[in-house]
Amino acid sequence: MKSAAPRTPIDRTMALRRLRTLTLGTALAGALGMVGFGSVAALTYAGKASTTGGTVADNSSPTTTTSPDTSSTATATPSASTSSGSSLQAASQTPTATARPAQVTTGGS
Amino acid sequence: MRAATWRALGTSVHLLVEGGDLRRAREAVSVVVDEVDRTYSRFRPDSELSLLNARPGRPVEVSPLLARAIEEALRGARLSGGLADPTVGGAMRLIGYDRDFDRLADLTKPLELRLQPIPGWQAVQFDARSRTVRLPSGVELDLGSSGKALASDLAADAAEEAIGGGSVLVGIGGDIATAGYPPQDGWRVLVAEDSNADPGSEGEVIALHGGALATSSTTVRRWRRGDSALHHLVDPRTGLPAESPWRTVSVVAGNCVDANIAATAAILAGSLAPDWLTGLGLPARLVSTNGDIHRIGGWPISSSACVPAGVLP
Repeated sequence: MKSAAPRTPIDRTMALRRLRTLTLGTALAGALGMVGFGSVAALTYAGKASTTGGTVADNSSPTTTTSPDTSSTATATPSASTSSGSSLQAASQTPTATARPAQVTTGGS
Repeated sequence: MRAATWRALGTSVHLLVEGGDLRRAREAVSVVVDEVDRTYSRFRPDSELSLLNARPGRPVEVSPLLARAIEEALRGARLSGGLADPTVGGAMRLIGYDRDFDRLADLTKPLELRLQPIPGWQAVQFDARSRTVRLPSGVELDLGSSGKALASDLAADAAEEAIGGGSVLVGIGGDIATAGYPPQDGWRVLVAEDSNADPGSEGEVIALHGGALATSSTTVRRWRRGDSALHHLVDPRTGLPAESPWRTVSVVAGNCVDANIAATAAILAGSLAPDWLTGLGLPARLVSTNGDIHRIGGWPISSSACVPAGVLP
C-alpha cells in the first residue's frame, strides 16, 4: 500500500477550511431542517382541545393500536373525572317521590 | 297528556307529549329512530356501522350521526375507566349475540366460551374534526348501549322542536330522555327491572323533573347456549357476560347518554359502584342479586316502594 505524500502547511490550511465548511454546512442543514419540519408539524398537527369548558371533541385517543393490558384488568375502576375535567352531567333537579300512577317504565331492555 | 307506543330498534318506543301535537312529535321521533337504525344497528349488514366494522385497518370517513355516536361511546369508556367500552362487538359475537335478540332463542348449540379481554377503546383511532375512524384489525364496535340512549336524547330534542315547545318524554327500551319544561308534578316513571313492564304495574314510581333516566340490567336480554346462561352486559376485562353483585342499576343524569354510561358502568364496577356514583353526584338505585335495593345520591324513597302489594292508592 502506497503511503500518503507529506502534507504542506497550505494543504493543512485547506483541509481545515474544508472541515470548517463541512461543519458549518452540517449545522446549517440541521437548523434549516428543524425549521422546515417544525413548520410542517405546526401546519398539520391539530393539537389538543382546551381543558376547560365547551364541547370540543376529545381527540386524545392514541394513534397506535395498543394491546390490552391484562395485568391491569383486575384493578380497572371507573373514574369520577378525567384530566380533561369533563364528567358525567347531573340533572338540574333530583327526582322526587310520588304516589301517583306511572306514565312510563324504565328498566333493562 | 298524549302518548304513543310502537316498536323500533328491536325494542319499545314510548312518547309522551304535553302542550303539543302528538302526531308531529311522533313523526320527528320516527325520523331519528329510523336514521339511528340505518346508521349504527349492529344487526343490519347494510348499516354504516356494519360497513365500518367490515373495513378494519383503513381510515373511514363516517356520517355526522355515526361520528357523534362513536364520540359519545368513547367518552363513556374514558369516563368509566374503560368499563362502558364500545369495542365489545367481537365479544358479543363470540357469546352468541350476533343477531337481533328476538332470533337468539332459535339457537341452542353450546358455545365454547373463552376468557379474552376486549381490545379496549384506546385501540380506536377517531378524529372528530374530520369524522374519520380507523379500527385496527380484530376490533368491532357495538354502540348498542350508549347508542340507544343517544337516540332517546336526539329524539326528545327533535320532538320538542317539531311541536314548537311543550313538554316531551321519549323512552327507548327503558332509556328515558326529556325535553322542554317538565309537567308541574314531573314525569312519573315506574322503576322496574324490565322496561316492558306495564307502567300500571305495582312497583316504585318516581317523578322526573327534567334530565334523563336510564337502567341497565342483567335480568333481561338473557339467553342460553348449552349449559351457559348468558346476558348482554359484557365485562371488558373478560370478554364474557359480567358477574356483578348488582343485577339492575337505574341512574338519573342530565342527559340519557350519561345516565346510560353510569348505569352500565355501575353494574360492571361491582362493589365500587356506590362510591363511584356518589362521587359523581348522580341519583341512583341499585338492586343487588338477592333483591336488596340501595338508593344513593338523593334517589327518593317512593311511598309505593314501601306499600305492600295490592294496596297502592
